[in-house]
Amino acid sequence: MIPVLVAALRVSRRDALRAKGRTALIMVMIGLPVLLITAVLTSNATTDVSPRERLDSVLGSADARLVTLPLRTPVKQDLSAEYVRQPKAPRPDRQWTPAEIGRLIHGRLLRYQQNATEVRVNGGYDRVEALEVDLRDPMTRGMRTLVEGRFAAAAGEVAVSPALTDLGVRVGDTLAVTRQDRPLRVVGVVQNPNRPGRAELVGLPESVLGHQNDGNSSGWLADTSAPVLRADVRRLNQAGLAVYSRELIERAPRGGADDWRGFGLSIGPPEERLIGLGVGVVIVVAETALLAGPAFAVGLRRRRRELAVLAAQGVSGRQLKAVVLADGLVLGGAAVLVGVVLGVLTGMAVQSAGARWMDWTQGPLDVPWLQVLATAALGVVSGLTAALVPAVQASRQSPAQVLTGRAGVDPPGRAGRPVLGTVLVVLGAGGCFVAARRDQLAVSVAAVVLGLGLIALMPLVIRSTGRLAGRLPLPLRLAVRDASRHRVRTASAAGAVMAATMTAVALGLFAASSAAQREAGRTSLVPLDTLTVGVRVSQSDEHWSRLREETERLLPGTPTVPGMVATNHRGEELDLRPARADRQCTGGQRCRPVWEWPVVVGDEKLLRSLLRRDDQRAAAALARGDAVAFGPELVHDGTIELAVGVLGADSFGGGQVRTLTLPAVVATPAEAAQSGVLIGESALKAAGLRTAERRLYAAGVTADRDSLWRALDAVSAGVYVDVERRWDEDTVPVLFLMLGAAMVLVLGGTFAATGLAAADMRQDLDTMSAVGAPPRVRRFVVAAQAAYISGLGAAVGLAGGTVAGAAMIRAGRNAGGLGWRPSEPEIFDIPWVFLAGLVVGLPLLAALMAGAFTRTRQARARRVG
Amino acid sequence: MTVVKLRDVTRVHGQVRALGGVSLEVSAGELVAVMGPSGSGKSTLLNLAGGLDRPTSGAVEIEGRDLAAVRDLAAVRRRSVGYVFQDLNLIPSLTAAENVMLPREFDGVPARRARTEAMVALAEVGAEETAGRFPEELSGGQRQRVAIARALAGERRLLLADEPTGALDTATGDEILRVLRSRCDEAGAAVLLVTHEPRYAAWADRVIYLRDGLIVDAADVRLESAR
Repeated sequence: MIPVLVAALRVSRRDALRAKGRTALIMVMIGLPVLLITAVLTSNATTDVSPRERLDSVLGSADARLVTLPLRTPVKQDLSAEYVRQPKAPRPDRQWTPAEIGRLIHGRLLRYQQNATEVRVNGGYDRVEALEVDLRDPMTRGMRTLVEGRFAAAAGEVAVSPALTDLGVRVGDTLAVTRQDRPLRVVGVVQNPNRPGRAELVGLPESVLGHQNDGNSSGWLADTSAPVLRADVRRLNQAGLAVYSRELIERAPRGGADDWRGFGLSIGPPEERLIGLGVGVVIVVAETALLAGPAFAVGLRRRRRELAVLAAQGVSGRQLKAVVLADGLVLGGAAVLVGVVLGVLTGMAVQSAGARWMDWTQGPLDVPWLQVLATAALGVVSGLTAALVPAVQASRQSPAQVLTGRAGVDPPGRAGRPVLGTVLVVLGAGGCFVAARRDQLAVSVAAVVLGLGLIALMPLVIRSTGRLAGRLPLPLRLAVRDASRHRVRTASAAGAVMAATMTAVALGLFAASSAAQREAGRTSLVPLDTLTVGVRVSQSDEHWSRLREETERLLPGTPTVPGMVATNHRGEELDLRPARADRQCTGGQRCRPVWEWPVVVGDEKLLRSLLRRDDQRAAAALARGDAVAFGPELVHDGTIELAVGVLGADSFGGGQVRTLTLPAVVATPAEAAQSGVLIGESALKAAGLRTAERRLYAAGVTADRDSLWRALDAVSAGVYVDVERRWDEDTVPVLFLMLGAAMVLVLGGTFAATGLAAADMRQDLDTMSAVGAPPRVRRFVVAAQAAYISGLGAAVGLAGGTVAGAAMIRAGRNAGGLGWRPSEPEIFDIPWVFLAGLVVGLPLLAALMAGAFTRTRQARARRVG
Repeated sequence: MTVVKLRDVTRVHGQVRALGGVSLEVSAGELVAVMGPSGSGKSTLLNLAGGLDRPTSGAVEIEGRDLAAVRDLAAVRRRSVGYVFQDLNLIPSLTAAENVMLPREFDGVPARRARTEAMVALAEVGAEETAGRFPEELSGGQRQRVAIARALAGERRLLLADEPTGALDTATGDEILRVLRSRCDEAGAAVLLVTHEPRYAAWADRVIYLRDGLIVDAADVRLESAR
């Protein structure tokens, strides 16, 4: 067997080197998924920083970090002192001193403090980390790298991280830190080796933060004469200190189960993880094999005579199969090798960029070899799977027929495995129906079975459509006939398109429906695109005036409407909410709990703004001191009951609640999602309550919420800013992302197959040109090939994806996810534009591109001899 | 000693009778030429004689073994039969030596021994200098010599050649026939040669003429004058 394998591998290797175009195509198809998965695994593993890898940035060269806590009761902690528990006790009135610590552990101590603070940059306040430790001390070696300038050496000095220099902070600048704008001079740039993208200030203890009162993360680094062992940690814990010990972390065993984190296997019970992994493996292997399949099929067709000559020399059918399978092994192996190497490099590059620009954590380069090898094995299996059908065909070909030129392209007899395909389709579709009552994992298993069935039926579908080709115009007829003759090549490419389309359709339906369901469950006081700005009543009137002015400055030309909050005679802000919700809501009516009924105080202008029209009856009621409810559920016998309590006083659980009963009218809001109650100032005054203006509303705001918040937060900390938006808006980028991913697979699969088909058809096309066909016919034929492959795959994928998507939506609802409430109707939302783009747009694009890039020049005939 | 024997062999493809009862024996050291017009059944005869195809009726024996009783015809071809075609004989991605050693390797012979045998076979046909070159780098005549070496490498003694000179000029064609003749005379090979050219048939010990699947004539005397 070994000589046979050696010979087969030699033939494959040499053949791969000769047919460079085909080899490159197959290597891309197999290598790209391996590259992507390896890059993600490497990037994830490098991003995942273990306590051991974090040692230097946390400890420097110290032996331990002693974390002081506000209480001094015995501490229970995990190894890295991230999770700490203490029994409650009265807070001591003194703080830890170095002398006290020195009695507990022998060694040199260095004070540190850590917390978050704010820095004024570019007109707004940015939240940054603050580390206070003397980085000049050798004990801190490795905690931060000096990039520029020097470390802070005095109380008014600070070093900043590169993330702050990105915002324009330079060495020599004076930074305004905290809301009090405390000036600190920037003397250097330092980088955290595990968080190179984090915005951070590093100064001497208490130069930025002030004394932390033993809270947050503060304490001492300790350089001890002997390693800090478990017994030391227990002793220090007993005294009320948490400890991060170098010795214990270095000695801790590596978590074996953690090695599987990259595959997302740490979620759910083991059998579900295994099934999920199995589904993922089948999808990746099938899609990769289908994408690479046409190149193997064409490779076989070109090598038929060569294989027949081998058969004539005594090479058996099984050995021919081995020769073709060796192609899969050689090309799969080479693709995997390149994919793994490039994947590791890409993962490193992505990780570095992510760590620097998106504040990812960063450890030393970590390649999770177990997972990468598993991915590599999948790549090789994909190569072998893609070569399987051509290999079987090679073993079955008749050398005598091939050598005498009597062999057909693809044997005309059986088209694929129609019986197996039908059985799988029935099982898969039925499985989707049954699994819809269970969970989404069961649906995904059934959908994979359905997809495999459709792939197995693809040759039959192609043969059937080939029979209808007679009625089509010439280019389309030629394309369909050719595709039908080369069934293996076409079925493989159309299968790849089908699988990509099916997945995208199913996920698209699910994403659109769950977003529609979320949007259906949205409730809001204000109509869409309305800005709400608010602060607590504890903020002064002057603060509020400045906020109003700033808001109006930021939104020039946009009219604003003020709103009130209720206060009691002590000036405390009151919370008003409906006293009871109507339990009778049934049928099509939405049943909203009381907390979805905000109660606001305002005048006729606010009423008009919320209703977006004049409502004379509601305005009159408001002027009378009645309440206006945006829905009938809360109004009983013409009145509404409101519970009034002090905001934030937990009064709704106690007895400090008073009930306010007001006459009420119902007004139809501008949008169905609106709910709430509007009451006038006079109604509150009549009840002995006071009001203060602390709300501002503006309709038709298109500005980004976060930029508004940043600008307003700079005026007044704790400001509440919101712009009401639809809850299904974020589905659009998700659908675009899926359309993009599907486009890569659909176009990739189609172009590979079309390119190979065009090369195969060159002689036919030359003959056509020779008998007078204009050059555009060549374009039309190639475009029609692309349209046929991608259109057929997309159409079958649409059918399969619809079944799988519907089952996923039903299963999601059964699982109680997606925010569905039993009282709400089930929503099947069809993203028409997305589906049209997927099923019509992509095949059209494929056809147009294939046609546009076709060479129309006829190959010059060569005389032989 | 008879190397290949066909007894009343017929081959029908669907409605078409390619061979209609042919009997023929080729002995060791004998070169038999088969002539006839296109479609007369020459290639079919060669396919049946080498076990590439099975007859509809009649019997084929190679070195005394009835092929009807043999399940693994590929093994018979590996050990007893070699084919040479008009063109595309060699695998372009393998060197001449690798092409020659390929059937032996597929027979389970280790690569080192297969290479040694290949070098011997190449030397016997006068093509040892081509061993490390790829088919593209060889002339037509050299390619056919390599194909002949491959057909006779190891213990194989039956060579079936289907128009081996079809793509060659006359001088090179003569060279190839000289090689085939010498393999018969020196190595005791049995050669069944299909050709259109009386010039090449003249190298044969015996010439048979096929028409419509039947042997219509046979000449036992060499056509020396046609060379």
